[in-house]
Amino acid sequence: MIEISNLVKRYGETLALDHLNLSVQPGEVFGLLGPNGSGKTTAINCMLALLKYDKGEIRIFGEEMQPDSYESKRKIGVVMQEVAVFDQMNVRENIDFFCGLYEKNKTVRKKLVEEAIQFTGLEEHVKKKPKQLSGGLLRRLNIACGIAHKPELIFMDEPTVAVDPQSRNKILEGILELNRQGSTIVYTSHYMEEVEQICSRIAIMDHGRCIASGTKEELKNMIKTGETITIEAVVLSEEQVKHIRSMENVYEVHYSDETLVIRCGKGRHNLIHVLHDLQEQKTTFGRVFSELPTLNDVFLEITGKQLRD
Amino acid sequence: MTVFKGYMIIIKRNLAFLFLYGGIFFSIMMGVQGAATKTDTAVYEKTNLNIAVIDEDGSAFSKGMAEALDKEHTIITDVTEQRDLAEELYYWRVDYVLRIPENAEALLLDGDAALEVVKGVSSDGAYRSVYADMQVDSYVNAYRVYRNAGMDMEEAVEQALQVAGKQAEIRVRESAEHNDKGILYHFYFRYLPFVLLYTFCYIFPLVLKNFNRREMERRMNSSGIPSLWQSLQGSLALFLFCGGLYLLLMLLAVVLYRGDLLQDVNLGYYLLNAACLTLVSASISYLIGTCVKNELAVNGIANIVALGMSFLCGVLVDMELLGSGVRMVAQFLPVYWYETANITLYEFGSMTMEQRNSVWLSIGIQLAMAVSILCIALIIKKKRVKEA
Amino acid sequence: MRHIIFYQFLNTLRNRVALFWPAIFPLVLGTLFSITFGSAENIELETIPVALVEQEENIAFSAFIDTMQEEEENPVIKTVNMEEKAALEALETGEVTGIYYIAETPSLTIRKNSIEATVLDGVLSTYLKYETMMTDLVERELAGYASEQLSSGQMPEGSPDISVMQQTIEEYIEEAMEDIEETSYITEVTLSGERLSANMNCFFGLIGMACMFGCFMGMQAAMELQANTSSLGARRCVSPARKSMQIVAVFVVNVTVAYLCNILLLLYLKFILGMGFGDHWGGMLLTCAFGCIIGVCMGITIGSIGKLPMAAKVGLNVGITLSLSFLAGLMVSEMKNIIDINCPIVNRLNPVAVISDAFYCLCVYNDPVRYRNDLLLMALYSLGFLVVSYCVIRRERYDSI
Repeated sequence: MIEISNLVKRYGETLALDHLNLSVQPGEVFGLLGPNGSGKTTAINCMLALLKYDKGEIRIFGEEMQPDSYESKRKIGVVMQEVAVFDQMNVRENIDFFCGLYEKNKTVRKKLVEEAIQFTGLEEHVKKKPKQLSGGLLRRLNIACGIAHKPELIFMDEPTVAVDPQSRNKILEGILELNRQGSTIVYTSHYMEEVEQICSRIAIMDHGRCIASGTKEELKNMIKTGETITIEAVVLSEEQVKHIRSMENVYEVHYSDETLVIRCGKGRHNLIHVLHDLQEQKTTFGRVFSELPTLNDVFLEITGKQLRD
Repeated sequence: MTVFKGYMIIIKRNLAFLFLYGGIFFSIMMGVQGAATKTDTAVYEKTNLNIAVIDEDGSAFSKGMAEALDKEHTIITDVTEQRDLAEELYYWRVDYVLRIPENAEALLLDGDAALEVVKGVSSDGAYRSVYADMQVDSYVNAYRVYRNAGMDMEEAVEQALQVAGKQAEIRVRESAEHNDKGILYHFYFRYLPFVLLYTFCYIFPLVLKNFNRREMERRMNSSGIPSLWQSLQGSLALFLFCGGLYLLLMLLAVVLYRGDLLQDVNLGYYLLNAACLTLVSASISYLIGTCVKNELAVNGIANIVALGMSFLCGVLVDMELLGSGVRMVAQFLPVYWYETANITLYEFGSMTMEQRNSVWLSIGIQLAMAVSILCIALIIKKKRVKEA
Repeated sequence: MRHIIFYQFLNTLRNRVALFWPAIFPLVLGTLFSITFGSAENIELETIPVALVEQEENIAFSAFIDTMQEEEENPVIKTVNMEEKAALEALETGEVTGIYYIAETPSLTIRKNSIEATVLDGVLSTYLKYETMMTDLVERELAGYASEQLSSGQMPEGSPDISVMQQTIEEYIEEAMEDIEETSYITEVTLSGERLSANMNCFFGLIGMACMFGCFMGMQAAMELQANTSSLGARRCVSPARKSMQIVAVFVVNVTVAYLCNILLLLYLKFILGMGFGDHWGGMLLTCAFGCIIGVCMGITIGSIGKLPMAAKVGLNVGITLSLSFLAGLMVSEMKNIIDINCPIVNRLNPVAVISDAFYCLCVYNDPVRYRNDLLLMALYSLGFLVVSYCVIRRERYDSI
């Protein structure tokens, strides 16, 4: 559905997109993950033909995306990072206005507006103006305005920023429902938990490049880390730490403030081996955690920094 | 004084806007001043008008009338078409058009008709043409008297012309201590409220909006500094900024008028009066900035306050031209008292005790108003912070 | 298109703050003008204090001065007899406005040019003229009387009967004074027959300014339509509704609303404040229409400048509008004429001055040729601003958002 090849975009001296290559297949929820300033929003704006770019090609629905690609635009919905609604209009009027830019038939539009209101749970707030809505409700209104016309392709640029957990869950559920109804979704965020939760395929961006892409499993398989074991309240000597380092499948050990963090490779029973070892040495310990690798780990291994740096 | 420092940083960041707004309004002020000094003079002059006479009568009487006007004005007889007259009037090449109808003598003396006059337009147009009106009336009256005394037309015209030629001897007594170039900086000080009010009314809200946001108020309210002390620090910063602008404007005045201004005996009072005006303008702007948050709304109110006071209080319209009703209302506005003091300082060299007292009264009222307005602003701010 | 126009109207009419400028502010300003200028034109002069310094006896002048003070309520002048030194001091301190020196030929000393000084001059001039007239007439009458007496043989040469002569002179003067009309022989008209106010320049400048205030609505509309000025603009840009259609809709709505506000102002000035505009409604409405187009387009152009913050855009709009209005005579009514004399090209380039000029030609000078030229100029400016604003706002791709 979307093909981006060799996209380059500069803001003066700054290279915002550095030969970006991406493709999005119909029917998927495609996540674009990366820290602030990685180029996610720039990529979206280029795809929407809002920004000029220096090099490359963007094709949506098989056509090159231009500002006057009205047929393609008719099938696209956008949920901006910032709330983009009219302050002077109430909820229903806002949704109706934006839906009306896509759907000219009044009867059809009326139905679509009602469905959008119900979908986003704004039934009780239809007569309120944006200033009277809380942050979460405002975000829901923002989404309603972008999806009311039931587009085939939806761009969502960090739609859950500054939103309470209840509204966030509702939004994420809504996105999955939209996907079930047939829409392809491009979802950008710097919250890896959201991306992990809803996206079928993920691309990780940093400094304008796509540094890794694939499904969650594919991405996690790219890295060494198979398991991260954390043991609290354990007192170890230097030798003991060295010994743990030398164990099979262990490739990284951190010990400080009586907390031991062990990164193990893709092996089985890593936790049992470590605990067994500590018990043999009659070392007491507190709580024990074992985590499977996250996207943060993927990002960390590839770039050497945390996703939220 | 953390809040004070914060305000100063924000003010510094907005200096570009200060120069933008200040520059615009200062330029307008200098333009207004320039135009006003052209049409006002310290030296008493009888106004010489360009008068177009359309003589449809052609008699000795009508010709005499033109001659009577010719004694003090410039008569133009070659412009008669309406279109040409319109053009000449519009460009001030003709100030006064007099149409003398056929058989004018009989019509006027019998009271059957009147002389039609078209007057050129200027702000004091009503007064510039007063002389011409009086001269025409004098001529006709004199003519009527002489005719009734038994003279024929030619004789009566001759005598009426002699009467019309009589002028009063007027002397203007300038104060030895008062600078005759005072008119120039008098207008500078006269239009000062215009530039101060406009500039402050735009700048203050720009600065205050950073601190007036609800979230910001909440955050600052939850700090250890009492809100009143915070507001006072903020006011201090803004008033310091106003002081800087005041010094800049006074410096500009000294640069523009140099020795003339520095030699004025009332220089100290001028500066003090202007300082009070600065304070009161700052208070008003602080109140506006505290109460109004929307940028466009601020603009509207700033314009009404600045232009409104400029018209009602003798800034853009001469104080002596304002009616008693307007003056009564204007007394509730601080700029009125500033202008009253300004006029006194300009008109009188060494002031009597009474005049000095009136200047001090004006200054005192301005200060009182400034303090009251500031207190109102602080109370409103405190109330809003509590509600936030 | 209808959908966009409907919601644009809704959005514009509900935006009270942006609407304040073209709708309310000119009404407020017009009212202020009317109050201040109206009071200036109908100024009631208070009694003017004058010092009398007797240098020589002049009974006639003294009697004349007494006559001027006869009115019990609000006489024109009030005199105080003083020595010269005291009189000069009183003049210095403002206790008196002028000093009449009573002499064979009376004179006046004033401290500064003012309306009161003009009145004192007028009083003295009137006296001098009447004195000349009466003296001349009396001399003639005396000469005629003496000649009559001589020829009839009733009076020997060199010994006139003074009491009889005095009575004759007094009767004669009284009769002559009756000939003098108290009311003026003059009636003021305008070339088009309308009553002229000396401050019409300010009101016409106000109408021109009101037209230009459509720039605030234009600015707001542009910011809601451009992707690089608001996220709302970005959302509208990515929709399938053609940008040109959205621009036309926005433009039509804003010009219409600005125009309606101007009509409101015209009605208010004419029917509530009683301005003498005449009945040239067709011309006035056409002039306002062009003015609104220019104003809205200017606002759209300024609003489309992406990099400037809102405060700067508002400042630009205010600064430009006020400056143009000032140059067109809004604050100092002579300004436009001064510029016309010294640098007329400025008035031709200033849309507010052109609008003010058009109103003048319509309402005051009744000059259709000049009015037509103004209209052509405004049409040209409208077209120019339209093209520029359309090109600026039509930009579909941005370097940076």
